[in-house]
Amino acid sequence: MHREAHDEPVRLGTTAAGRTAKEDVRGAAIFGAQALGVVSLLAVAILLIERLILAYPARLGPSVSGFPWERIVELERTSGELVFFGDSVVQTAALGDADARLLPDMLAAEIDAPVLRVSQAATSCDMHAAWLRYAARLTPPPRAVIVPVNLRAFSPHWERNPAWVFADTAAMIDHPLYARMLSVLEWDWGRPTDEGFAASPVVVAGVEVGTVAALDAITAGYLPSDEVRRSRYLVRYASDIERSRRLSAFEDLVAAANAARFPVILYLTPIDVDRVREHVDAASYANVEANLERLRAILRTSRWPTADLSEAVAPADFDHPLGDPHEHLKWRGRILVAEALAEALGEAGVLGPERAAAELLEADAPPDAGSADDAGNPADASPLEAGTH
Amino acid sequence: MTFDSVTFALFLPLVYALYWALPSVRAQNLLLLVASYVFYGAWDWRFLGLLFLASCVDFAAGLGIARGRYPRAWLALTLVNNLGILLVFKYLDWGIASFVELMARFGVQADVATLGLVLPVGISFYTFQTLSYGFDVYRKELTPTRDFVAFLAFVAFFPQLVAGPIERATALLPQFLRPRTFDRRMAIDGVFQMLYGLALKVIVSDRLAAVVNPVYAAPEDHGPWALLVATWAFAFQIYGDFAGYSHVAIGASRLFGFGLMRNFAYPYFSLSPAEFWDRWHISLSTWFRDYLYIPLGGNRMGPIRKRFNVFFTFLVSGIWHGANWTFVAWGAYWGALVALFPRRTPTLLERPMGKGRVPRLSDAVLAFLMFQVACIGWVFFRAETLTDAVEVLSSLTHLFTTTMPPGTFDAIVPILLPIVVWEWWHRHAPHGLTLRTTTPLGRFATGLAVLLLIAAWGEVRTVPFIYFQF
Repeated sequence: MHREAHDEPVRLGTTAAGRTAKEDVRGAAIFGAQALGVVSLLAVAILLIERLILAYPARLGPSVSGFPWERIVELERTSGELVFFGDSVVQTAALGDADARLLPDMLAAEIDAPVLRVSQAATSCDMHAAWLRYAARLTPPPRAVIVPVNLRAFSPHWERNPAWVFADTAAMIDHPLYARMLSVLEWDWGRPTDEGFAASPVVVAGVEVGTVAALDAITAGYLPSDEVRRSRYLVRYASDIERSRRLSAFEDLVAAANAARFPVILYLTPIDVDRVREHVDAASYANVEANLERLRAILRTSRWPTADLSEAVAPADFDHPLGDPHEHLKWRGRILVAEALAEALGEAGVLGPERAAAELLEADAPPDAGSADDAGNPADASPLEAGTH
Repeated sequence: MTFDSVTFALFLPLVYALYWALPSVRAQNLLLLVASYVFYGAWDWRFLGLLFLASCVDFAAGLGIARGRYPRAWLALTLVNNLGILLVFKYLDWGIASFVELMARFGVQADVATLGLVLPVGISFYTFQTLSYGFDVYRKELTPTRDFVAFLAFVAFFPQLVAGPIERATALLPQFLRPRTFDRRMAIDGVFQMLYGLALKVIVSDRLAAVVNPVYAAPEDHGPWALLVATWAFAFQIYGDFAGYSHVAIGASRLFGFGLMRNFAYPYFSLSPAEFWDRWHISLSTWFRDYLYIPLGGNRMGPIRKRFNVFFTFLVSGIWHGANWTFVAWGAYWGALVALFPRRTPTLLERPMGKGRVPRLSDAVLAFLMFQVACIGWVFFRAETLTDAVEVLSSLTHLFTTTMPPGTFDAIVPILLPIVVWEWWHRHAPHGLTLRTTTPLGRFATGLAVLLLIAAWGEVRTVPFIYFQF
């Protein structure tokens, strides 16, 4: 294979010279063109196989490593149903809650109709848009879909804390093989590296105020110092959302909602604005308002009824440690959201005429619910009625 | 830029299209040079200067040697240039740290700071390639080129710049000086070889990394069976990683009308230590043979000196791999083995374990044992420290006195078994996707199947090529 020694030296020309023969150039060009054709055919073949996988998710899905086929199967069940997408806010109740029903169950009780929950912790616009696009292809499609939009998901803190992002998984719901292939080929889906995340700047009103690692103090736990507590509110709600790649994901979500043949109720998740105001300075709080206004502006482009609940819930009805702000709600907060969403659904014409008539009757009756506190009987505030998912 | 990236998937066709649109050899060389520098600069553009400077010195040294005045001085210059770069960037910090540690053992607190130098990617590969140029010109086996651009492109040729194969100047440089021919069959085979390399990397190697890394990160926390599985997994991880890279490099070169040497020939079907090194990282082992072992006296010396030469060559090869005592131990281990068992199995490179479809039982047993021998070496290669390596090996001695936990091999069998069977089936071919069918439909179906496998089972976590660190 290799020479051990040369009898004659390998004589090199002093300089590279000559031209490639025409037939070689022609051959390379033809090969290139044919390769392009074959690649196109391969692309179509892969696309068809993707459709097959999506048509039989339970049977073929497990053969694609990491493909969320269980979620697809879950989405399949949304056909003809009233569906509630969401993150951990819709799948948790507070410890010791007088009413332990989850938010979708409360909504089901409000509207007297079953509500199907499809949720996963830390999901946000990108994932919800993919779910929505999938559900929209079903026959029949869902009756209606409710989708929360959480301001904190637009913060740089959400990029890797929790330690995963879903842009790649969301893309796999649309294109299981192509999206995965891109991930295999080191496409990062905008996901920062651990180091990049830690060093990513937090910008408030155009001014860089520190890094995520320093300000969010991820390892500081639930009972951080006052300083860390303040900076966490700043990072999670006051940082400029214009810098977030999720803003375009939100716009995609609205576009998917507008394209849907069924009502899609988008709502801004309640955030603990009072505590945010307590913890950040006035200028930063103005930025929180500006962030919310930006989200509202996008929300207004939806053709369906929407709900802005961002400032609707009182601090006492949030379920988060003071030093680790998030959007989980206690039962009264959840009821408030459920009521608002029921109203939006009614406005969208999702609720049947019987339900609408009942609502009219309820509107005539003297108000007595909603006065119960945490220690009170929640059934007084929100009767447990309908069967839920 | 790595071979298993979207960037490269766009870069390669672009360079291909531009390359063949330029019919003059000089223009093509210039394009290859620019493309190679872009490819390398995508990692760290700061080291482009080092690459350029080293190339300039070697180019001048080649001409100086050939001029006949002070050829030894010019050779010394190229040696100092290449080995100096290696010494400073790769070994200096290790040397300082080892010195401080040694002093500490004697109770002397040496206050010498390491320089914290970043290791330029591919430094061990391109310095060895240019060293071969200096040696060959000095030995009058090659006349030097006066074409600066061609020489720069030869040193920086992007398919093999960062992890080989380490080409001899006598083999590769002439290809830069004459018109390249386009061979359609070679190009098709090149594409499939690239696909095979990519599959080895992302399906075999990267998936196995998930088995290996947690265990070797804390070997003391794992029992002998877990260590055995992790070591077997690493044997195939490094094979998939490095052979995969080589296949992509060779396949990509073919698209440009270049032929690179074979770098792997189914090493785990070897029946002896010497045969293993005939089949593993062939370009490096033959480099050491030609430029170290033979100059030391090679086979012409007496049995003891010959064995010492073998041992010494492997020791240096170990050090080449990395600045760590684990690599020194790894080199010494293989050096001792090859020196003690020098007999080569009389099989051709193209015929590992004979011609038969089914291996002879004795060969199968021998190959399995040889694999275990290689795995002992991989323990040194993979362990972070010598202490860790000794700990792993001592734990492995308790293998048969420890109950095997259920499902011990579950994580590796679905990867190892198919690849062993597949490679056995293809062991007479240069790579695992050498097509037996030549019909367009057959090629299309094969390409589609491999792409689907990569898409469905390739590892999504980025695992850097192991040999980039060398």
